[in-house]
Amino acid sequence: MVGLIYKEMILQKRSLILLGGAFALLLAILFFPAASGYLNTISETMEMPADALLVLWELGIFIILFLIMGIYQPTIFEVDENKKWAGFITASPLRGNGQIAAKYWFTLLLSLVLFEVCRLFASISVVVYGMSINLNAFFLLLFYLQLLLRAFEYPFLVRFGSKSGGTYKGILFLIVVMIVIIYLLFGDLSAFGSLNDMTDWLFQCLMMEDTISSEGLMIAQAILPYGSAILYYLSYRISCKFYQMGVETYEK
Amino acid sequence: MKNKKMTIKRIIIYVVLAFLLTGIPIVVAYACGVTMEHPAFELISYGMFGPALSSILTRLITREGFQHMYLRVNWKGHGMYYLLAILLPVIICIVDGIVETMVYGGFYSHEIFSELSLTAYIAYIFYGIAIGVTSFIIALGEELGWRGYLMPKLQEVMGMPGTLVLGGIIWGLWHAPMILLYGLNYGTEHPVLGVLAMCVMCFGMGNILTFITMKSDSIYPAAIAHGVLDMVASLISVLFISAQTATEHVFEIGLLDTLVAFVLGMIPFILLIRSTGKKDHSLGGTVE
Repeated sequence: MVGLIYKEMILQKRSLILLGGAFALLLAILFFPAASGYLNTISETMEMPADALLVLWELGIFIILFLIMGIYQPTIFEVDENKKWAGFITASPLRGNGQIAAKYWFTLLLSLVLFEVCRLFASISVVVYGMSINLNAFFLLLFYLQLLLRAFEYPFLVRFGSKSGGTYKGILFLIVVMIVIIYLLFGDLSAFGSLNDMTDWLFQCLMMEDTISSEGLMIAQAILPYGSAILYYLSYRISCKFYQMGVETYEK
Repeated sequence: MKNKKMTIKRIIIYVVLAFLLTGIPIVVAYACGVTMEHPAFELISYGMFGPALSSILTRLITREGFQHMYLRVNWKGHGMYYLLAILLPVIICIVDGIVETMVYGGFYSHEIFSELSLTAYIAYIFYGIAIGVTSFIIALGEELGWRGYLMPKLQEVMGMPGTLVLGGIIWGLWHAPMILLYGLNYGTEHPVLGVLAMCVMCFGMGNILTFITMKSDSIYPAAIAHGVLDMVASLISVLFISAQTATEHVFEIGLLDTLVAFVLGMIPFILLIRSTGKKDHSLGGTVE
């Protein structure tokens, strides 16, 4: 298993270096308002408090980081879509399950590293900007959402291959997003409080104020990590079942 | 046959590096006027990587190589220890709370529950556990050094009882800058006593963490346990004592927590000594 994860790192070395470079650039841009000294000017132009502007700036950059990682992670399956390799690994003691497990562990490792890097740079930005913004809850949300999305996506990639699997996954994802949007527009959101409550809660959490205005949100926040972890594991088991079927779809 | 002199040399290099790499930033921060309310204070928590860095540097300096680092997950057959890693800190905090309640009177949870329902607060604690588990990487920075490097080295030169006692004392003394300068765990009124109490607490907690490291042959359960403990300790304590009591009696409450850690830590202490007495269960780790 360790060997397979090491293999992933070696095969993905170039991609990881490029990814690291992109992240470094984005994290440097995080400090652009401080370096440029234009924060107050922009704040006056946009008629927005500097604190709020900074929060949005940081949120935007961290969301982009997680989005980039989310685009990269599924590509780790492409390198092993080869019938010879599939035959070799199936014949090995680890079998296809080990191959799939390595992909899931590698994905988890990437997300964990991103989570910790974001926390580190959020702490540094607190020092640079002199503002207390607690983004830990936000990072945790993104981390577990990322695992949830990978749990949803990976069985498609394993069963149908990267190209077809990505297409089927995209179609299903669009359907889910449409259902969620319809529910948000027309459904009963009383359990989560009003939109004002949700945005108030978000900013009060970020600004380290203790007021929690919606217990439903708090309970949902607590369930997400455990639900994501369970679904991630179930996704692994499903992918193991699909692996041999997926091998038949490989072109070479 | 292990070279004891070289092992002792490695221990000394490791301890000096661990103390310097973590202690110097704390002292510099204090000298620069960084208080606990200052935004920069949060960065001091990254000093937890000092022990891990020290173990890596010691291995490089003494050309030890990177074997026996306990970096395998060893999930199969050891899942129970990962579960214990999550449950034990919660149990310890609850026992802490019960003892504090016995000393300071009834439950003060109505302070919290005037704003939140019990369900929501319990959800918040579960959320804290999730943060603790996810943040285990920071705790890994300590555990890679203390349980992953120091404890095996100490066991090479002395028996298990000495390893656990001396390891706990060293770990406790490592916290001294934070206790003396910032009143960590024990407030600022009795700093020296606080350091001594911390040594006792680290002995107790160290026994628990060493036990789960040794049984799982992996550093990750200890890192998870450490991360969860750091995250849920304050969340659970407010269910039992009021914020005012916690502030007014910070030293006494710290001593109570130390007593609980010591007593609970004696269980793995006895188990470890028995198991090393029967077989050669050294903290040698697996070949990576």
